[in-house]
This record gives sequence, C-alpha cells and structure tokens, in this order.
Amino acid sequence: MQIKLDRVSFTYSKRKRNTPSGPDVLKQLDLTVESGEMLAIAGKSGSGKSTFLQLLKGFLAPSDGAVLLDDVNPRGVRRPELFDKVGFIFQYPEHQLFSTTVFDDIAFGLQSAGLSDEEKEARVRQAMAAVQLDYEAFKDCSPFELSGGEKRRVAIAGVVVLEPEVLILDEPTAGLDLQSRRALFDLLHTMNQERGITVMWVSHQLEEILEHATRLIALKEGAFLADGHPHILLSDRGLLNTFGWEEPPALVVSRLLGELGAVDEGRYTAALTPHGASEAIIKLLGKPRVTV
Amino acid sequence: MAGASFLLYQKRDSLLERWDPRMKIVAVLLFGAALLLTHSLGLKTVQLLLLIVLWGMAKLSWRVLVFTLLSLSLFFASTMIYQSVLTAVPGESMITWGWLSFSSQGVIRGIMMCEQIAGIVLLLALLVRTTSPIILAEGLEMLLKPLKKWRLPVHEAVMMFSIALRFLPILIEEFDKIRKAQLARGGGFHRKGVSTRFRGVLPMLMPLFVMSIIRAKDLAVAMESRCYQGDEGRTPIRVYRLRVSDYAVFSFSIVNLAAIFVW
Amino acid sequence: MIDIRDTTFYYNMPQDDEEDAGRKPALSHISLTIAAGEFVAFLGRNGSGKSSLSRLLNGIELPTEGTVSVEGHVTSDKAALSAVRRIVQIVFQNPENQQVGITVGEDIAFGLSNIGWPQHDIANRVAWAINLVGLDADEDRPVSNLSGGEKQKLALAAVLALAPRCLILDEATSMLDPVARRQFVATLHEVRKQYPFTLIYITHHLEEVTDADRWLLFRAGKVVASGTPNVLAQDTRLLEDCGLELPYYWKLAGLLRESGISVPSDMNELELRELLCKSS
Repeated sequence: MQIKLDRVSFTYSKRKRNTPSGPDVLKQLDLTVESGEMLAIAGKSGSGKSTFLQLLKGFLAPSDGAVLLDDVNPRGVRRPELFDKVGFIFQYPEHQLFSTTVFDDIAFGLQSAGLSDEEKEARVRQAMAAVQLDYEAFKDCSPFELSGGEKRRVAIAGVVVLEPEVLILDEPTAGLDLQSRRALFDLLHTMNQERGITVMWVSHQLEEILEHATRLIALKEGAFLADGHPHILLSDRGLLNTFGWEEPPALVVSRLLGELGAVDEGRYTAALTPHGASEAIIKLLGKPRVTV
Repeated sequence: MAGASFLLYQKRDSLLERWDPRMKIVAVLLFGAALLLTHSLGLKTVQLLLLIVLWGMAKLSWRVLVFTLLSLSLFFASTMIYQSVLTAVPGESMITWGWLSFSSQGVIRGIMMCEQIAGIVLLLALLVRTTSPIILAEGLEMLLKPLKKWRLPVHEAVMMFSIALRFLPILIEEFDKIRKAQLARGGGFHRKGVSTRFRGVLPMLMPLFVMSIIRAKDLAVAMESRCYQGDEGRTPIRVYRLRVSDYAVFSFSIVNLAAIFVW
Repeated sequence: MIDIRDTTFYYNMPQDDEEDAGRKPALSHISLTIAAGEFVAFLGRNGSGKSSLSRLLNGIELPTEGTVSVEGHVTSDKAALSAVRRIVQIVFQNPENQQVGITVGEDIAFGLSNIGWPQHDIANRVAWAINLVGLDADEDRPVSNLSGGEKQKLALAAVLALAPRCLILDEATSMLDPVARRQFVATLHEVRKQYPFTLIYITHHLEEVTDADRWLLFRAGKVVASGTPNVLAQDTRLLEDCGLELPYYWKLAGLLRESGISVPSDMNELELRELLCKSS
C-alpha cells in the first residue's frame, strides 16, 4: 500500500497548546512511502514525530492537506476503516496486554470481524508464526508470565493478526536486550520481504537505522529535514550536527578505507561490518607477521 | 488532556500562591461556611463575585473558569427545576409562564443553591490550582497535627493525597495512550454496536490498572530508597511563617463569616 | 566498602509445594566486594540478577541467605538501614516513576527532608544540586515540563543532594535517546571528578562503561565473570551469551588481533587511523 502525505499541516487547538506536553506542529509535509519500504524515522521528542505517526493511523486529522492511502483520502470519503490497513504498534506495546491467555490477547481484534472459530485459530496461528512464537507452546500461557521479548512479540502479533499492509512501530526495540532486538528485526525483515509489508519505525539508534533501513527521514520542529538513504544522511556533517548525532563508526571506517583505496569504489559509501572492515585492513596491511 | 490541566497547579507568580497554605485552607473552610450559611441572595452573589475576582488575581485562565462552570450546567439545570417547580410550597406566589408555573421563592432558592455549588467548586479549584500539592500537603498536615495524638495516620493520608494529585495527569495521559493502542489493534470494534464496544472496556481498564500498580511499586521503591520512612525525623521543606497578608486573609474570612449574621 | 557474602535471594520465598519446586532464585550464592571509589559495571540480560543485586545494596530488598554489608553496616539490621541508604543511593530507569515533587525544587527537597537536613539550609542545598548536574531549570520549574534527559539529571541531582558515597545507576539511561544519554554520562563523570563516589553502573550498552575499572557479567542469577574491560572484551562469545555487544572499534580490534595484527583491544578511531597511515 502506498502512503502519501499531501501538504499536511497540523496544529493543536489553542486550548491544547497550553498543555504540558507542549506544541506539536507539523508544517506542510509532503511524503510518499511506497509499498515494501523499510523506513526509519528519527527525531527528538517534541519534533512532531508522534503527531506525524498518529496522522498516518488516522488518530488525528490534519488541519490542512490530506493523508492518502493508495490515493484515497479515507477522511474525505468517510471510510475510516481504510486506516485499519495501517498497523500501529506503540512504544512498549506489552503494556497493553490484558487477557488471561496469549490466544485471547492476540484474537482481541478479530472478535468484531465475525469469523468462525476455525478461521480465528488459523489467523492467530499465522500471526504467532509471523512473530516466531510456537503456537502450541504459548497459546494458553498467561502473557504476564512471559519474558520481555516474548511479551512484546505477543503484542505485535495482536496487530499482525489484523493483516495490515503497513506496520508502524514506535521505538520497537526500546528496553529489549541484544538477542530480543535481533530477533525482532529478523521478523520485521521477514514480514517485509515475504509479505511485502511496509515497515516504518521510529528509532534513536543510528546503528540500528544503518543496519536495517533502506530510507531514513529526519524530523525536526515539524518539518522533514532530510529524506534519503541512511548511508548518505548519516555521514552528512551538517545533518549530524543539527541533530547532535555522532557519525556511526561503520561509516567513518568505510570512508577511511575508501580514501586509502582499500575498498572498491562501489562500496565506498557502504557501511562495512567489523568483519568487512577487518578483511579490508588485513588486505591493506599485507600478510601480518605472526607475532602474538 | 483538558482534564489533566484542570486540577494541576501551575506556577503563575500570583499573590495567592504566596499565601500561607494553612491560612488558605482555613480561609477556604471559613469562606465555604459563610457561603453555605447565609440566606441572603445578595450576599451569596457578592461572595461568588469575590471568588471570580480572586480567580483573576490568581492569574488563572478565564477559559478554565468558563469550562468549569459549563461542566456544572447540568447540575444547575436540575437544581433549578427541582427547586422552582417540584418543591413549591403551597401559598408561595406562583408565576405562570405559558403552561409552566413555578414559585418565585423557588427560583431564588434555586439560584442560591446554584451559587453555592459554583462557589464551593471555585473555592476548591482556587485552593488546588494556586498551591503546589506538596505545600498543600504540608499545610494540611500541620493543621491536622493534633489528630496525631490519637494515632491517626495524618502524615500518610496527606502524602497519599499529594502523590495522587501528582500522578493524576500522568495516568490520564497513559489512559489516552492505552485507549489508542487498543483501538489500533481492535479491528474497528469502536465503530460497531454497543455490545461490541463494551468488549473494549476491559482491554482499556485492565492495562491501566496493571500500569498503575507498576508505577506505584516503582515509586514506593524510589521513595524508600531516598530514605523516606514516614514522618519520622523529617524536616518540613519550607518554613511557614504567617505574614501580614495571611492575617489579612484570616481577618477577612472572619468578617465575611460574621457578615452573614449581621446582614 | 561493599561486601556481599554468599548471598542468595528470592523475590518470594519458595514454598514447600510442587508448584514452587523448580523455581530459581533471582541471585544464587554471590560473593563479591567493591572497593571505595571503584567504578563497576553490572552487565547482563534482563532478568540475569543485576538489578536485583543493586536493590540488595541499599536494603530495599534483603538477602534470603547470606549478608550484604555497606561500610560495615549489615543491611538486614533494621537499625542500620537508614545509615545504609544514606551511603548508597540509586537512580532508577523510568524518569517518570521516581519523582515525588511537582517542581524541581520540591523533588530535591523531598530526600533532604527525609533525612532531616537542617531546614535553613535546604534551599541552598537544592540550588547546589541543580547547579552540580548543570540542570537548566530553576527550582520552580514543574517536573512535567522536563524532557526525559532532564528528568534523569534531576533524579541524579536529587540523590547527590543526599551526599551518598556510593551511587547506583540502574539502567538510568535506557529510556533516553543517544544524545540525552551522552549528556547524562558526561555529566555523571564531570560530577565524579569533584566527588569521587563509588559508582555501580547497570546497563546493556558497553560503550557507556568502556572506562570502568571492572565489569561484572551476570547470567541466571550468578556472576559468571569479573575483570577489567580490556580482558573481558576478548571473550566475545561470553559477552554475546550475556546479551552484550562490543562497540564497533572494539569488535574490529578483536578481529584484527585474531589475525595477528597488534592493536590494543580497546582501540579507538585515532589508533586505527595511525595504524592505517603507517601502512600507506
């Protein structure tokens, strides 16, 4: 599904502007996200990021302009159910679990769909497979007894079960440990590649963006300051300074090796993994004398 | 969000903020008593106007004042109907207006009743919105100190009250988030009939409940870790010394109360 | 300064019934000492026991078996508890759940009030603490107006006001974005230059503790390794097992060393540049 923002502006009403959370204003945003992208969104809190996400899900209506899903403005044609194709996963989604069993929690969104029990079971099975949870082992567990990473996957399954075409995640790896973070991105990539689901996620971790995103948009004070490939944006001095970011070491090392001619021209802008970098360095330095 | 900012104290550097919390509480009680005890419509109206002047002095938003009064309008309407139509005493002069007939004394009773409700709400709103919860709690605790002799948990009760005030806005914001999150994975249940919508109640309340408990636990641990052990050996955060302005507030409250007997 | 002897800890005492038969303790048979002034990092996955141990250190939880003592005070001795807490202070993970006051000043004063700080000096001390952590806020600023990073700085100020000799940061940066995180860590080290307190830093991010004196790796309620960052960084498998990822340059250094190129295991960007420049 294609998402398009057509000169979208957003202003909270005057009354709300005085609330402690502060003004969140978006200024004439234009954006097209094609089906199947892996898009990272960066920006500090207060940059308008959360307003932007809520517009995509239809929780908020733009003050001006329109959000188009496959060229249809769901608000314009009064079909809010079109926004159901956008799956929205909030920060720490495991905080929203409520049922006594994993099955019931995941099936919550199916209750009003009028499905038979078999169909329901099939959908839950599929969703659990998508988040790599074993159906038989977990379906009767209490979600509150699971580990942090498992809880989060249950919560994500609760959205995936509705078969969204776009998945929006607000800091999906916050609070997870290394293995759970990796597992989470594994399954996001799988959903992206096998089902063609567009994945858009908010991240503060530049390494994570560099590794997983094919496109990065950076928001500041309600405007997109940059939109492009993470490799290019994250080595842009000016942009890095604007956001107070440090250039990821992978890019620094890649550029250094590129300047020394240790890696091919084509890989100059690529980010080398430590493995790739060590190979290039060894090649550059020649066969090392064996002294350890 | 509007609800969150309604009860919340925000610093505005007004005169009312500098008044001693103990005196403010006493004045609220005295003023409230005067408001309830007087039987004069004129006096009640003057008192209500006075509260509105104080609202202005406290530099509070007029929008909130209007909002507060409007939110009570249902109350006002039912009070007026009850007093003027339903409780008319035989022998009172009746006014007939079309097919409606109501007692003129009833109307006055109704207005006074409404003024009382509005007055009490404004009084409390003024107190809470011009006094930081911690200061309010300390003031209340000092006033209730005599009760400690009978081993009443004054300190604990007051602490609970001030923490509740502090966390109310956070919980309201949290509820908003949980609501949206459940809508996002609810398969559009909120657009369906009442019975389907009803299924959304537990998914919204349960997580809020769980999160509140987690927050409460976290906070309890953080407080204990910062050496909190009840009111044993605590020093009050601020020194409270009554100043001329506080005595003025007190004298005024007494005069206000006395006025109802003289009037 | 801190002495932990053969300590085992259950959050709920196991009962003698079937249901509880297989339950594992949060910590099992831990013995270790931490010297005054040391900077120690507690590392490991969620649920490995690192946070549980930190709670034992200031007596929020008491050991099921064994003893924990702080400067000679045993935490399970009720009379010593307030002394222990004055020595050991904790900054917690969630910025929102550890502030009691509505305003910055009230929140810092809360702790001071608890320990009976002389009333006439509270305002001074509050101002001192705000200044110490470089919080850009006066004491009347409402806590709800602060950003996440500022809230954690406030939490830091609030505990430092109590003049602790040991500070525990329990994943205090995990909810901050990288920019706020760097600022927080910088502030912490700046403060520690003036007040060299013992520092126990609990985290998933190794790059925050590259300059620690010692790393302790936790797994399943046990300390599985303890040593200087330099030494432990070489055991990448163990680190991986504990859910930890080395910073990029350290990883690269490890790979280069495996191939016989002599670089320090805590190589930085500059050292890499030098190495490469020499070759060309």
